[in-house]
Formats: sequence, C-alpha cells, structure tokens
Amino acid sequence: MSKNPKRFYVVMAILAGVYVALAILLKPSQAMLDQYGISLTKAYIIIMSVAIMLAAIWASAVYGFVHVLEYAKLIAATKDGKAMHKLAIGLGLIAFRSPVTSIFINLMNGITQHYPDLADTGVILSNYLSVAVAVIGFWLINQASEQLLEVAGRTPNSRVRMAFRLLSLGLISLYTFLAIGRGGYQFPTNPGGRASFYLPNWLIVSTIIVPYAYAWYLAFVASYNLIFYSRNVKGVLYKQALRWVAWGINIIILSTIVFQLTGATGSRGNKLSLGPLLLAAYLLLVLIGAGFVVIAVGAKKLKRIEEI
Amino acid sequence: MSQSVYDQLIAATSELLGPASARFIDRQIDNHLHIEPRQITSKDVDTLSHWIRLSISMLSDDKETLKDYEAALQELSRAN
Repeated sequence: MSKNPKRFYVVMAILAGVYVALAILLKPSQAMLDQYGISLTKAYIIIMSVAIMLAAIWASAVYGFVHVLEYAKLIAATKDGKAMHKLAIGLGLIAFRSPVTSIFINLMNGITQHYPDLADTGVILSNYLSVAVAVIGFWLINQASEQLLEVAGRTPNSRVRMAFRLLSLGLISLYTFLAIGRGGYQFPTNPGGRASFYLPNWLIVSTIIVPYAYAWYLAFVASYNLIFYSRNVKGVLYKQALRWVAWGINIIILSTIVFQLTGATGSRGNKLSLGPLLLAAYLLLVLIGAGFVVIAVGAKKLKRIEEI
Repeated sequence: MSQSVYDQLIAATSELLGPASARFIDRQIDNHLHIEPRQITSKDVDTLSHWIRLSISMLSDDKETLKDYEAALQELSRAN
C-alpha cells in the first residue's frame, strides 16, 4: 500500500465538517422538540455540543486508526504485518462507521421533514448500514487476532469461546428486551416522530439483533485473543507496546456494545430519561475516543521498535 | 549443530522484541555493518553490540529489563 495513511485525516475532517454543517443547517423538527419536551434553542445547544464532541472523538478515532495502519505498513511483508493490516482496516471501519451513519441519519432527517413517507426507509437503511459495518469491522479485527495467535504459536482455552457464545446469546435476549415490545420501536408514538426500526419483530431480531450479537461475539473473541497474544508472545518491550493496543481495542469493543444497548433503551425518546441517557451516551463516546487514543499510544511504541 | 552468530543474536533479541527481533537485527546489520545479515561473523559482534545497545536505549531506559539482554550480548561477544 503506497498511499499515505495520513490522507484519512483529511477524509475524517471532511466528514466532520459535513456533519457539523448539516447539524447547523437542518432545523430540528417540531415532533422531535415535542418528543423530548425541549425548546428550539436548547435543541440547538444540545445538537452543537454533541457535534463538537463527536468531531473530537472522530479525530481521536482516525488518529488511532492511522497509527495502526502506519505500523502495519512498516511490517507489511511479515506474518504479523498482514494481521496488523487487517486489524487496522477493521479499526478503520469502526472509526468511520460513526461519522458516516451520523451524516446519513442527519441527511435522512432533513429529507423526511419534506418527504415524511421516506422516514421508515431512512431508519431501516441507517440501521442496516450500522449493523453491516459493525459485523465486517469486528470480523476483520477477529480474523487479525486469530492470525496473531499463529505468530505466538499458542491457542487459548476453547472453553473461553463457549463462554463468549453464551454471553452473546444472553445479549440477544437483553437487546431484544430493550429494543422491542415497547412503544415507538415499530411505529412512531407521535405524529412526525421516529420509530426505532419500522420492521416486524422477526426481521428486527433476525437481521439486526442477531447480527449485532454475532459481531459482539467476534469482538469478545478478538478482545480475548489480543490479550492472550500480548501475554504469550515473546519480547518484553514488544509486549509492553502491544498491551496498549490490546486494551485500547477492549475499551472500544465494550463501549460500543454498551452504547448500542443504551441506544436501544433510549430510542423511544422518553423525555424523562433524556438527560441521563445523553450523559451515558456522551461518556461512552468519550470512552470510545479514549480507546482509540490508547491504541495510538501502543501503535506509536510498536512503530518506534521498527524504526530505530 | 551450533547456532550461527546471526541466529544467536536473533534468539537473544527476541527476549526483548519478540516478533520484531529479526527485523531489528537485520536493520542494525544493514545500517551499521553494510553486509547481508546472515554474513555476520564473530568478529562483527562487538561493533554491532555497540549499535544495538544504543538503539535499544532509545526504546527503554529500564535497566532492569535490559540487564539480561546486555548480559546475553556480552556473552555473545566473549563466546565468539
């Protein structure tokens, strides 16, 4: 790969700029203001504070991704280099998933203000876009972690994977409980409002919840593999650097899962729970950004080993 | 069959740098001795050890961590 990974900073800056511009240009709908019981001014304050925070988090996400990609480039011809490249691409998908889906959602919100019949299409497409990128991103990270285990020449206990399978099955139940069965998940509860899915229950479970649970299973296994690899691979200095990458990925995986479940809880827009839900969402997003910064610290240490 | 000087260097360095050890040693030999890595002989070990110590010191100043590696390099110099 001869192209400079730093070009992704430009891509992310453009995406962040588009998102902030859309946030300013697209006036919140009256239905949304009524749903949350807030004024237009307060809505703009919330929207702009979220936009600025998201831009900062996306900056840290691309920062972590670019450093891993640069490290993978340095060791491209090697076995661990191929694994790191796959890891970088997976992290890149996770990093860019948020701005791309956020812009898409904002665009669809703007379009549906003029063409309300497209509301369900927009929600369905954004849900499927989000789950598809999550599955592919975590699959790549999982595959990278399996390749790294080959480098270490050791494999973890298979019972751990069984435990993760059971955990993922449990998360299907939890996500289903949070996401469906209450008002607003299939159809809007008030005129001009939004539903979470606009899909029948069986499609929600089979095409959104189950794929997410599969993505989370892949993520759990990847997380465990990376920790196992960082503990069992040789090289004191190499391990010290790699541990940052492994823990950064763990922070991102756990925060992403909790964020998705929190979103399912808050999707019905209960105005009484808006404050705590927003706070939880902010904290999780900050954690995701912090995870990418931790990854960058580790990737920079690994790069240093290859450059001296 | 005794290990070559190159393989001994890799083995010692892998305790510090793991999968990156071969790449590190190849780079040090190429940059400071200007020979093919596997052509390194016992006569080159002293010179190379100096550069290796310098490079490793840029990665870590933890003397405890580097103590064993230093001892391994000195052993290599003496044995060869």
